[in-house]
Amino acid sequence: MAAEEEIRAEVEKRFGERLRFWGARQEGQRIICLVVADDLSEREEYRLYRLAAELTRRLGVVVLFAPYSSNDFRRRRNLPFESSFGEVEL
Amino acid sequence: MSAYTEEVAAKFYLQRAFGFYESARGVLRQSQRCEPAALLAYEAILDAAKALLLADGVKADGCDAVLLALASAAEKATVSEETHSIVQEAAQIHFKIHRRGLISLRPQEAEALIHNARSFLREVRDKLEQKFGLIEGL
Repeated sequence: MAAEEEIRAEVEKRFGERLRFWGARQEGQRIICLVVADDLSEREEYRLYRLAAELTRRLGVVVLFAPYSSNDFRRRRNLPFESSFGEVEL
Repeated sequence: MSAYTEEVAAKFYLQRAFGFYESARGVLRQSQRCEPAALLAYEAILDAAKALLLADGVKADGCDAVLLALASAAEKATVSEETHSIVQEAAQIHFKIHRRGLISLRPQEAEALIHNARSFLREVRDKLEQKFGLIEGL
């Protein structure tokens, strides 16, 4: 399984139907993943950081998450970094 | 790089790491501005990680190279997974500061990062002292 697919599978497993958007982009040695989920808590955000470390060890590429709660993301979606993942329909 | 050069470089990075750490604490104490303190704590953790790798003869420049070298070392069990996770979390905070302009870092995230830096730097110092003997000024 390609690295991005494996990351996506882990994220989908974690959030299920609460996952509103997932996108990945490779920059050099890192894969940056935009994750938008409903009611994302601080604890879940922290757990995503732990998952990033686990995936980095498993995949041999640096995995970083940009996690958002969907309500926050609706306010912020016109930022250049987020826009670089393309149009996001929540 | 010779073993002697690696030792000197490892000690240099660790001493600089403690300098960054003290600055981070000072900034947080004086101004309550958490982002500059978090950035300094991140630099401290990254420098300490470089020192840790150099002590095992591994040279890594830049955040991603350090993270991948630590991940590889964790897979070989020459460092703990927790050690790698601490550095990776610091990189996540650094990434968050640089890429999420409208959201400010939560103060507790900066405090946790500084707390992690403190225990991580001490762990690296102990490891280097076991290998190289006492390090001046630390």
